[in-house]
Amino acid sequence: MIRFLSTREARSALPRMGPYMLSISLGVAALVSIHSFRQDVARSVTDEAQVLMGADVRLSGGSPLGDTLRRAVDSLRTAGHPSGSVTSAVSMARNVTTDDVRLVQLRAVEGGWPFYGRVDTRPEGVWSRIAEPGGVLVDEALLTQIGAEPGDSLAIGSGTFAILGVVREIPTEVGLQTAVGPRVWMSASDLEAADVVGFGSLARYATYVVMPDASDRSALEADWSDEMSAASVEFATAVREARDLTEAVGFLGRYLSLVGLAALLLGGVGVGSAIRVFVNERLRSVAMLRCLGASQNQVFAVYLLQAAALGTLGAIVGAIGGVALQQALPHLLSNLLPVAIEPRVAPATIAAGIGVGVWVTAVFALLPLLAVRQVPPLRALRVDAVSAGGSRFLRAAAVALLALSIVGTSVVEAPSAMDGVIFAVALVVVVGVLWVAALAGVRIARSILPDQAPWSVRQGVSSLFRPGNQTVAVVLALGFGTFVLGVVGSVQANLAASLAIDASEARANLLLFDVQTDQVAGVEALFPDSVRATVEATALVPSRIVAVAGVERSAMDSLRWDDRPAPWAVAREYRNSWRDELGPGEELVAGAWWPDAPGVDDGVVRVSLEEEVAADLRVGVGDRLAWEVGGIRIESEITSLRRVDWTRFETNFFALFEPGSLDGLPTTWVLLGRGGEIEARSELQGRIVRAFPNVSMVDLGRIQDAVDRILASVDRAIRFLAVFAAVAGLLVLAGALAVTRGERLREAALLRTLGTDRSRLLTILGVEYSLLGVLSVLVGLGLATTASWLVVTRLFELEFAFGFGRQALLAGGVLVLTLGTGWLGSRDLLSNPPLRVLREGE
Amino acid sequence: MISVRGLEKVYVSGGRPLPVLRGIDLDIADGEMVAVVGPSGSGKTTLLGLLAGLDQPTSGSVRVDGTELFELDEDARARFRARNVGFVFQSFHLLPALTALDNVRVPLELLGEGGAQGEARARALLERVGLGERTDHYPSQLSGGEQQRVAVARAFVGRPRILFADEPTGNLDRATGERIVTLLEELNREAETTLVLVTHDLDLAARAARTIRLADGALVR
Ligand SMILES: Nc1ncnc2c1ncn2[C@@H]1O[C@H](COP(=O)(O)OP(=O)(O)O)[C@@H](O)[C@H]1O
Ligand SMILES: [Mg+2]
Repeated sequence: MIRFLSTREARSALPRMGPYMLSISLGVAALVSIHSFRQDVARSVTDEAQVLMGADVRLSGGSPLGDTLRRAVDSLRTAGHPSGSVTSAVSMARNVTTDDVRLVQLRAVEGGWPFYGRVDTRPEGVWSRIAEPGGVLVDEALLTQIGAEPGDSLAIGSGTFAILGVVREIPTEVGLQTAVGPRVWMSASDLEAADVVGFGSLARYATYVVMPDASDRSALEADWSDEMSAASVEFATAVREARDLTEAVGFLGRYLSLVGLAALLLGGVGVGSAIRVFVNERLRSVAMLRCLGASQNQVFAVYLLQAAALGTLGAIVGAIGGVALQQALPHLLSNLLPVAIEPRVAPATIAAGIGVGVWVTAVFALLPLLAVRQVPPLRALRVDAVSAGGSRFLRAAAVALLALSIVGTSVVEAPSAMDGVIFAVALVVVVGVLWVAALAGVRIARSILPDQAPWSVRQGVSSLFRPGNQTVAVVLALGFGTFVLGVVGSVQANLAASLAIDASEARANLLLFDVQTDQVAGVEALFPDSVRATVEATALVPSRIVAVAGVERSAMDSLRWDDRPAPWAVAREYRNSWRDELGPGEELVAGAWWPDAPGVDDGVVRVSLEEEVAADLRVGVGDRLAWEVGGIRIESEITSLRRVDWTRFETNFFALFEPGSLDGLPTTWVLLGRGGEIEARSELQGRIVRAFPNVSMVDLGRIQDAVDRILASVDRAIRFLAVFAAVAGLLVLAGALAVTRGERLREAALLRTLGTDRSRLLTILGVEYSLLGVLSVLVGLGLATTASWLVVTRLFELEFAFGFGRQALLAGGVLVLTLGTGWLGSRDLLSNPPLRVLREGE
Repeated sequence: MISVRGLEKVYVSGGRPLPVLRGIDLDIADGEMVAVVGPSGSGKTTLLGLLAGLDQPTSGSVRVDGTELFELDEDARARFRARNVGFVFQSFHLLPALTALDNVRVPLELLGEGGAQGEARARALLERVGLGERTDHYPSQLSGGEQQRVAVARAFVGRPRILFADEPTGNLDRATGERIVTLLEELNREAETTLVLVTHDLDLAARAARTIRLADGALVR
């Protein structure tokens, strides 16, 4: 009997519940596509791990490998582990014929790297020819940027090289690495010939080893870890790097899946309210069934089964959509991903998605369905028969199950359990506020509406109170959609604003480095008179820490764990400087600035540390730090601590010395200046590089473009999912309209019969939807602003800007959508002959 | 004075024409009470709907005081109804979101006579149908008979010149039905309204001055 009835009735329920089920589909689609995509990324990256590195192990650092490690690598080679090296440096490259210049990244390759994957070149197969002296391969981009062609000559440093061909694709190097500038591939001996890796230049030295066996790798790492940390050599394996890469994508994916979950739960709320109306309409049938002898549990089962069946249908549709989306996501995120992603259908993920969809449907349907149990059989005979009081226990159980399900699914989907709980709580708060606002808002609207208001306006307001009204569902749907879009838009805009480097005239857009002390004046002189005053020269003194608070580096391992300075802070290569006055983004938090800084012993210099690095070094004012600068040991005493705003676009330093105290030590200079518009900037770069071939330049405007492209990719992904939540909101809105359609049709027909003309009917509808829209938008935006303020100021610790224009646009958009959907759903209210509708009511 | 000439209505159902009214000629004088009887499905509701301009006929004309209803557009007909016509339906058709009093006030509001005076008149009529104590109740809180009395009050509140009642007692028990019809008669007499009452209850029909019999879409004399 249960099956017979549920299938018959479900057929008639489908057209009306369809839109709600589609919102379940949307949520399921989002979850299935994101989870499948994450698996695709993890699999593709792991498959490609060796290819991404070009080897199995990399040893890298700011200087060439020391003798011990060098010998170790050599002995590995004889033991069957081939190795090679890549030295990276930046320099300017000039097209000898056209004089166009560009900052390039030099890659000096030696010893057969990459050992995995293949390098795609044009003409084909020229990769091995970089070993030839005087020949280089370049990135395609360089050719267009400096108007060169294969065969042309390139001046780099003090050498001139022939362009042998183009590297079209090399599977290593991902992300921002190429943003600095196009790459030039050459042999190690050519790099020496160019003579650009002078003192203080930002060269990196990497040695790659083939070592496919994991146990060999761990042995290598363990055996040499002391030597490596002493020499600041970083040990990396392809497998580990791949895992790190997927973690970043996975993390983004987990946040995205929360948006998907939000869409799904929103659909659940819609389902709940649709079921409520549906049940109200079926009360007669239920009573009739009870008269015929069906038990409470049987009628309950009939309807629960229907809900579950509809949920399954919706979830299956969603899973199909999710698989389709999975194919699209790699294109959407192409800028973010290091490897080509091959989508593969993941049956377990699909099953899980469908499961969650059905579960959410059933759980949200449970509460309204409990009403079915309480329908008295007498209802079949008398419409006004009163419902029996429901079982409190069952209701409480249903509410508890609902709450548990929300928290449970959130915890499963969130990056961490804590995030999940926060998400669930935030969700409940948002839904709760919208709920209360919906109920209170319409009541307030009704009570403050003056009696003199036109009748159609008053009628529009009271429509919100019709039995089975969907006021709460509509405000939830619209408000939630507004909320999600508002938060995403606002957080996005605030992040983008903080990352944008202002390219306007007021900001420096040219960064010059590797300038030697005797070249500073000469370089400055090349800037046009009008902008020369903007050039700021900052000294860089490459230094290493050799002792912290009297403890030598070699003795630090014996310190108690919580006294031991953080390894990164000890091992890093410092580029220190000196300064007269605090910069605008700096603030003194302890000690005193010179000349008032505390006096120190002879032979000791005064230094000011940034507060966070000081904390990690476990030092404070009065402690001593010993540095090694160009082979000379410098003793310093900390006389002040500074707080630095790193988000400002300024050069800042962990350690600042008193002016004069580093005189005579090996120093290079960084110059920051305004180079004008892009053409003027290029021309200036040309002049500088011809006069000072060792000086390198970064065109910050171009970097900003590259950063923008990556941000745009993330942005697309997030927006894409926000659209999901918004569409889910629209579907719930459409569903709410579908559910109340019968009632609306009857009302409109009746009003027309009584003599209401079109314009008044339109006013009534307009008032009804505007009120719902305005209420949802106000509350949704209010919540969104609160939430994004919290995220921006607390999580990202940035300034928050409200963004009035964007919010107004969103508010306007939601209002137009609400009125549009309302109007579309009501067209036939105005066109159907009223008689037909009244007849149907009989 | 309502005058009907050659009124035909053909529904198309399942691609096949289904003639429901086959050329009706009929005159109803002002203030007259007319009962329309006939078996279920004979076209009574269809005829009533056309008389009130709720639907378009296939052919023929309906003139009310010389105005041809089907030459007016939909909005003009709506205004015509608001000014001239009252309705009582078999299934009451009250607006569920409005109280009894507000339901009765709807026609006055449509005429722009809402105000305090309108409210007083609505109250008086509710009093008159015996629901003076139930003005603030919603339809769901009223029994069927009470809902129909609210509908009667609503039908008369705008002082319509014509009142259409489509089986107003069809959903009510006999005694309650009696009461409703008595109310209709009394109010009809007091306000000198033309009353067109559709029913298949011959006893009720007998209380009308004239009975029109419909069978198979045509008048039977
Ligand atoms: N919209 C419609 N489409 C097709 N047939 C209809 C439609 N409305 C009414 N009918 C048919 O017209 C006939 C007359 O209906 P109706 O006027 O309601 O009869 P009565 O009120 O006398 O019972 C019935 O056979 C009915 O099925
Ligand atoms: Mg009828």
